[in-house]
Amino acid sequence: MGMDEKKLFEAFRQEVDIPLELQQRLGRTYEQLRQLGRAERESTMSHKKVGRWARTLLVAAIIMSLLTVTAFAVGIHGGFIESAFGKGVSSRDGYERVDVDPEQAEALIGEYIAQVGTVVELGDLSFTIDNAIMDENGLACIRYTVENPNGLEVKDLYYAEYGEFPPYSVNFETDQGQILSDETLEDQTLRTETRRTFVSYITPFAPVAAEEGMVMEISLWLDSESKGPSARVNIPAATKAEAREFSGGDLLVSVSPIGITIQIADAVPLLPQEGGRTNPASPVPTPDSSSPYYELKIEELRILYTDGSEYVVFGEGCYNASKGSSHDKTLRFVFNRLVDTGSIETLVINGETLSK
Amino acid sequence: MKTHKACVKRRVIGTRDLIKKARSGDTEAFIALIEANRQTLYKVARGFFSEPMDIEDAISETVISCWEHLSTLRKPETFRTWLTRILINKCTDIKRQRKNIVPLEQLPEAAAAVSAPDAADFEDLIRPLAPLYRVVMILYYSEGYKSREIAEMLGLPPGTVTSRLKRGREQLAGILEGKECV
Repeated sequence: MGMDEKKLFEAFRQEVDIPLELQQRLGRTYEQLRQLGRAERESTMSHKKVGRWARTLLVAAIIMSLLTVTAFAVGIHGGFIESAFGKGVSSRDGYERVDVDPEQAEALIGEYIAQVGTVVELGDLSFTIDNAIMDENGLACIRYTVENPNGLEVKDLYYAEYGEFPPYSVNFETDQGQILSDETLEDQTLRTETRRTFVSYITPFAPVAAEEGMVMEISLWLDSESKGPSARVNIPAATKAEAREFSGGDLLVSVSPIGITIQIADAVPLLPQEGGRTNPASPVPTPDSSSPYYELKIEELRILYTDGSEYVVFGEGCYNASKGSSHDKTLRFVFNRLVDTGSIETLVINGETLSK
Repeated sequence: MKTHKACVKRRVIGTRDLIKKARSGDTEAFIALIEANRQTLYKVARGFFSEPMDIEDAISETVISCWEHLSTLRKPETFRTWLTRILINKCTDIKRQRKNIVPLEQLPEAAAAVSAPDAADFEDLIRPLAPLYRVVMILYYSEGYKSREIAEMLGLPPGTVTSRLKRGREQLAGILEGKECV
């Protein structure tokens, strides 16, 4: 017997209550938009109101900032470090980017930064992969630019309507074929009409061998399902940033200057719903860890330094890391700032203190 | 009742006006547009995911992206379709990133997956549906798109959309027969 179509339309079109957590999340997103809107309006207003004196001051400020940028850029890796771990990428609600000291950063990770310098041209677009860094656990960070001398309207697969400007996609895998998870953010301070700069924060789903490098696949898309020309760029395994081990409770943790790998001890079985996205704001309650099965949700992750300062990676309303990946009892995240692992006193994860 | 020819007509601010205002930087106008399409955003994202956090991520990222790229919308009257397409691609991207993780939707969904009690009827419809049919059924019955439009949005052949609709109806056959719609 056929299904009553009218009944189906009525049933599906019933209005549903939007979950409270989603409403709250939307509220935070709207606040973010309001801040963006205010910043844009203030920038417009300041241009209109600039008088003679103000113009002089503005020129002086620009000169000073250029000098500052020049000094900072003296280090060969300064641009990459600022994009990836400084304020090149913007802060947003719950996600705070901090200033990075170029000399300290160079001392911490300079030897691990690979100069890639590969240029790929697809259609009108030119991709330049400039720098990359990887740690011994397979966490990585890559910076690349996209350019079009005729003017760049970056429309990826999400925005192009059918038959419009060809969009592109970027995916990462190890050179042994393991697909990698990535979160890609733009360094808007470097944006021009013909060029945009992106930073990809990359996490594997499984351990990565010491000699494994990465492959970046760039593809143009002719429409929403037809892939056009593509290129694969090898990013060889340069010296990988070393990590330090911490343990406590059921957790084994490895921290490098760029990220963290958290492993639940093998002896601890997990709930069938293994994996998934971990986020301190997740409304799913964390089961009691004394039960035969438990699933790890990071609600708190703090790095406490010997000088008394701390880096709150995850906390209430706070998520200072990449989206990361979760698989096979292991969670992996790339930090949004550099960590001096030699200065770590302890880690605190969900109330558990971990030490070396 | 007397009527006056010169009476002031109340002007309802429609989508076109809101988009015009939003394009000029009026964030409140943009937020009003999103709020007007909240049901669409939730239902379509729910078609892709059971995890509330994934639904929230997809919708939040879609809202930000739409604000940033509002200038690329060519026809204001297609705003809802444009918004839905961006959401679908965000959901697809999130699913793509989790390729190597056991997808929760293949596991039996927990009864408490959705916290809004009044969504029970909608949940009753989509919970028993295989993930493959869920989004297609929502786009067709809830959002009113034609098969061909759905095929274009999801990047599927039209025949595939038709067969998924057919199978989705078959799956729901037993459920609605015992239920009265308000």
